[in-house]
Amino acid sequence: MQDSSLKSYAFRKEREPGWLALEELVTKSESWGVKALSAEEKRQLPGLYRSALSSLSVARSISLDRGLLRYLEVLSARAYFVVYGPQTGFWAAMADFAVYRLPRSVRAAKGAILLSALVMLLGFVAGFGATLSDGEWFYGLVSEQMASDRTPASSRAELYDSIYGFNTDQTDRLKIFMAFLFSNNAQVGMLAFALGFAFGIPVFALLFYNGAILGAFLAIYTNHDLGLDMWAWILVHGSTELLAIILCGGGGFVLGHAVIFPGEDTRLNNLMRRGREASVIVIGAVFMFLVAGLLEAYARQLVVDMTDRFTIAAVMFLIWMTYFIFAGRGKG
Amino acid sequence: MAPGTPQSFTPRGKNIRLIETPEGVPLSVTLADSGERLGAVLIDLLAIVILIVVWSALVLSALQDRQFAEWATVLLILGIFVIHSFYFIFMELRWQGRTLGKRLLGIRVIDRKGGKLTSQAIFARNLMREIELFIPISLLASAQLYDTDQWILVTAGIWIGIFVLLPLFNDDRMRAGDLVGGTLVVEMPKAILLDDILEESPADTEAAFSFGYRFSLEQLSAYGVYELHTLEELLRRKGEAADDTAMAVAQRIQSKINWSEPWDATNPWGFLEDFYAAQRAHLEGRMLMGERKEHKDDERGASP
Repeated sequence: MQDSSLKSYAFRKEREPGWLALEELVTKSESWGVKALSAEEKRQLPGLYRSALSSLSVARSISLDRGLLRYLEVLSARAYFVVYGPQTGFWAAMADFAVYRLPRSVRAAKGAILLSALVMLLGFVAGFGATLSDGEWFYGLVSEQMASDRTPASSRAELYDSIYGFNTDQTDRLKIFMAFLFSNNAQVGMLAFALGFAFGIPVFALLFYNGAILGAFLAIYTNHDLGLDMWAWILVHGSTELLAIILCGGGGFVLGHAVIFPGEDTRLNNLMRRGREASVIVIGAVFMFLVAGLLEAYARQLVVDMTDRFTIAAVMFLIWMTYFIFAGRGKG
Repeated sequence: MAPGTPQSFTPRGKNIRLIETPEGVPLSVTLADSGERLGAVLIDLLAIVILIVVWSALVLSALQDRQFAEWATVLLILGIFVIHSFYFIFMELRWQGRTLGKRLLGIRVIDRKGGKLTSQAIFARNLMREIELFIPISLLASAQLYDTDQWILVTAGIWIGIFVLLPLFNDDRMRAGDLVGGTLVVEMPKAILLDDILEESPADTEAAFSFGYRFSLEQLSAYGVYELHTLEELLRRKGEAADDTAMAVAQRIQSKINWSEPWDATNPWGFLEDFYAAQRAHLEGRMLMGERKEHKDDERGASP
């Protein structure tokens, strides 16, 4: 029992400088971010982390010095957070997001997105049919604020004016209206995703209702023989905006599906995997809402001709489809 | 555990979770408690309000002229939207899973599986705030402004109840956003490297036995790891703890191990330090042989 040169003691003496070096790097990047580390320090970090982790592993089996164990436990955890934290930063994450993640997630959720489009279409048909047969339905579906003077009682001239007529005063109001619509739509889009958590049921309602409002508006224009003109007016920004709403609904359905049907994985793991995918779609849709808002405020005021409006709508639609179908198929 | 296999020590406890690192070594983290998380979210909400106020003041002072009134409104609406929707996402991406509130309270977001905290996880967990946080708040606000129906308030109450209380109803304190994002919120661990107690003795190799006490194998087999750690805690408090305590502990040990040799009763610390060193050497030696004696009544590592 004279052997006083404890293995744990010798072990600590040998490894201690590495731990202290790691602690310094970790403290620095905790307060100032990984970017604050020099190139040399960044190169050292993973190696020091792994050696601290192996020290911890060894210490757990050979050392009974509790102070040391606790220190290593904490140091390894802190280093782990730095090494495995989001490294990319906001802008790099956004770039990766746009090029790879978004189109891939959309493709992965195409079933839910088609369902979402279908529900909205059903809502549209219902709203359109109901308002066409009985104008009173319009008031039930569309709030006064949203209708902004366009009702079944409006004359053809008033409706025509709302599609083609504008003056400076109105464009200024429209700018505000656009910003309001964008933030409102984007928020509703996020809501559609989050509501998926309640088994997806509110998503059905939200999509159906949005479709019905659209249908109700189109019906009053159709009654005055302005149906095509109204389509052109709406689709300038609508080809982008409706797509974004459908995507958000699709995200909500993915989430709802994951809550109800766990699949082969555990419910929690499944929810996590699908939830992350779906959230990417929704963030993408928020940017689409922004594009839609810009189109609404500018393109629609500058382009008055019906054919030109349809052309813009079709071009936007093609751009989005090409992006979602073909982008990000390579490596990455 | 089968005799002969080395046993390693991993911390356990109600609030401790083990995350499996990609390197294969499990690390222990402590879950953040509900109070800290509530505090963090309140600080963040306050920060959001301040940001909105500052943004509004900037826009309004830069575009005071009447002719810019529309632009000012547009900028206000967009700014408020961006601040409210992206504050949490931006912060957590920027500061590795920490917002201002989390940073101040020393907590952070990690991946539940121990992998990289991805941007998707951050998106997902924060998009859920829309229904967890912002809708209930705006419902309550509008209830204050307008005469809202009673049932809307009740619905809002139930809604808030479900989401706010969700973390209290699962062991991992996950809110809906954590469920969807696959994340956990844990304490930012803090610990400093304490000197090895053996270090404080003189530096030669016989350091551990600096006071010259010798213990027999049988005497060292009386205690286990738990008692050793308790003794370690006491020795680390040598400066503050009363000598009486040391004396009492030394006497307890002596009666337990049937100490019959003379000792220096004026310095109980010396006895304790020697005993700690010898005991630790003994237990660590046994541990290398695959026998970890957890506490004094543990049969493992008994004297042969």
